[in-house]
Amino acid sequence: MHVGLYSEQGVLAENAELRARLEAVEDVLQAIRSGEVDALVVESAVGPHIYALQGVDAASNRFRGDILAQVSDAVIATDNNHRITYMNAAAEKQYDVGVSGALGKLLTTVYRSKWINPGDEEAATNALRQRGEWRGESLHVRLDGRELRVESSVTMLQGIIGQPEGLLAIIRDITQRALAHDRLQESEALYLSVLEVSPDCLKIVDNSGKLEYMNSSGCKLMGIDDFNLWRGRHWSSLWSAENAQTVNKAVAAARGGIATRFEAYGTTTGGVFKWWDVFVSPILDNRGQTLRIFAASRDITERKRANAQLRESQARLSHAANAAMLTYVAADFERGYLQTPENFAAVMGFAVQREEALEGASGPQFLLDHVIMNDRLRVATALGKFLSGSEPSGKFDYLVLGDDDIERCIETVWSVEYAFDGKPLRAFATNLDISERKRAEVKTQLLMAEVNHRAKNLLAVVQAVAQQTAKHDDPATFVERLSERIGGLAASHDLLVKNEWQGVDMADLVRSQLAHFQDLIGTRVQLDGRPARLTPSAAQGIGMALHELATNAGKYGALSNSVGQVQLSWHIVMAIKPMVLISWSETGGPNVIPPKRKGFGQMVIGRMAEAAVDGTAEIEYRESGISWTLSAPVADTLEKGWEADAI
Amino acid sequence: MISKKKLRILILDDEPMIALNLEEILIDAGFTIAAVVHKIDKALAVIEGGACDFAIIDANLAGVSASPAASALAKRGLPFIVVSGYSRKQLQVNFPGAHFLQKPFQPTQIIQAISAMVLKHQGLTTAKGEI
Repeated sequence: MHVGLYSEQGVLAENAELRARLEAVEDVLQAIRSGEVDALVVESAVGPHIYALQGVDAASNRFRGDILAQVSDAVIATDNNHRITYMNAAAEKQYDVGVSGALGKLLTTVYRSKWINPGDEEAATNALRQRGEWRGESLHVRLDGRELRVESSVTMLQGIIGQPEGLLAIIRDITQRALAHDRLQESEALYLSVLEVSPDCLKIVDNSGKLEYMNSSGCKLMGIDDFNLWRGRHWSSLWSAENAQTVNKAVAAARGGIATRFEAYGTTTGGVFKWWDVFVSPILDNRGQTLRIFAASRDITERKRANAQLRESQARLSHAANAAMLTYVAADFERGYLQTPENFAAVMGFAVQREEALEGASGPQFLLDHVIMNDRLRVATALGKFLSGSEPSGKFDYLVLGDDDIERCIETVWSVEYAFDGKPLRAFATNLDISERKRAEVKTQLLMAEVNHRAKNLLAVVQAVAQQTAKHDDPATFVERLSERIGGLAASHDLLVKNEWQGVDMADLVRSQLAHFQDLIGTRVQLDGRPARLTPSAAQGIGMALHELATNAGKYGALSNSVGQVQLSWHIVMAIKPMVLISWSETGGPNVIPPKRKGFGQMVIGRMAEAAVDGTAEIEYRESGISWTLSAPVADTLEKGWEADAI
Repeated sequence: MISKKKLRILILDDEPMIALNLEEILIDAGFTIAAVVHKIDKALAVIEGGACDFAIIDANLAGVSASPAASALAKRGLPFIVVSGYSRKQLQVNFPGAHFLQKPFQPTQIIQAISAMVLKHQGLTTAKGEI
């Protein structure tokens, strides 16, 4: 970059100097031509020569030849027929011809003219005709074909009475200069186009910090429509006051030859907030002096935002991992290195810092030391597979005893990443505290076993009921009676499940077993008793007894006609120990005939009910109706804490 | 050889319907019932009073283990069958030496089990007697 600028400087300076020298020579020639000069004193190596300029005499002609010979540019004079009348040494050299051979020959035997732009030739002819002189650039093709780019100053030579006698041309070869200039323009255009294609905001500022150039991406980013309005203004004026200082410091540093870099935020002229990554560098000349300052500002707003989002999501992930009691181990096989995150010790229940805990080769041993004693061999084998990379993935769980004396169940799930040649590169393992899940699993297993036990027990009861029903009841009604009894058991069971086996309220049990007669409850079936919570086994036994009593009442007793009544009551009475008295008393039914043989019903309301509550049952077959009383110790019948409420 | 009639069987089960049904099954099969009880202390009283020759005990009595009854029976050299709604491996006490039946079971299963155990037991005591 700075090379290009330097060349431009150099060429421009050289150009200006040459132009000044040419003009000085021309001034002299002009003065001589117009007769303003009488004599010239020319300093030479052999002393001053004095030339008088009176008339076109031999002396003045010689003077002209002498002076023209000393000009470093090519000088050629021609007559009106374009024959060469004079040629200096520089011209001989420039066109590679000898003056002796060229004199008297046509100009075209030395070079052919080519014009750069159409119309140049006509302009030159007109200028000579009208003003007697022409100055401009054209191409001269030498006899050997070499093409020179030249800058010519052509003057019409006049005779004593002003008649045209020929032309005098001072011709400078500017081929190299033009080439350099073209190359400079090309390279400058190339550099500018490079700057233009950059998506960053690129600027060139002068040593005082004034803007000289900004690429179009920069203008777009900054919201600048016309850079010309900003050219020459201080770069720092594009920034807020606090960041302007940073910018000025960077400019000062660059002026001193030091490149700097900083990040700063600002609002564009379009009013958009942006973060910038700014690089400020001096453009040095070959003496190490700062010519200009180059500044590149990259829009990092998105990156900043993405970084912020990344940090935020990492923080969220870390929170989530902590909440889920999840941690990890990363193994780098090439470096033989283990890495753990900050929450590792907390999740595992280790009291030491993670660096001490699991870095390097001692890590696995440290972990094993915390695994419960009789499981270490298995865990060591599983860990070995993970840390050797011998298997691509795996999963195992184990109990670790933390330094806080809490036993944790940890599940490790790992996978290995391999190189193309099959060598293990890295492995990653997540460690999850699954203690809660394990506890839940154990609880579920216990519950399943309990459910299974209860189901088996209930089936055994149903089986016993079926066997008893088959034995004692009429085979014709077996299916019906058995179905009813199973229905009764199911109703009691529903209440137990609903109350999570924490007992059943007596009133609820009565209503469930008397479901067939629920419309009569409150009228022909009178209930009397305060809340009393029966134990599960008492509820099942009493429920079965109530079922038998109600079925019997509906078929043969007080509920078999339209007027009979049932009085059902339960009370706590104080004897030697508190007792529950449950009484079923029927009136108004058909006359009762005591049964001749003991059936299933008698067994249930008798021995079975007694056994269920460790109590005694009394049955009276009064003619007016059956009376049944069950007397049971509160301790065997009611749930703890409910007897007080019921008394 | 002790006849069925003379073999006094103790039934220990907290589920009265099952206990009473079992009692009837055994009576119908010709056995004598020593007692039908629902609690461990009553069972221990029967065993320690020498009132039974054989026992069928439920492993779990409303959350209380029947193992004291099993120990008392084993101490006196009395054969017994353990029944439970749990499978044998779910039981916390293993009841060594006892025959195990999971509920529900068929009447014939328990009668066969009693007969087999009594025969085996008599063989053992006879052998001991000869020494």
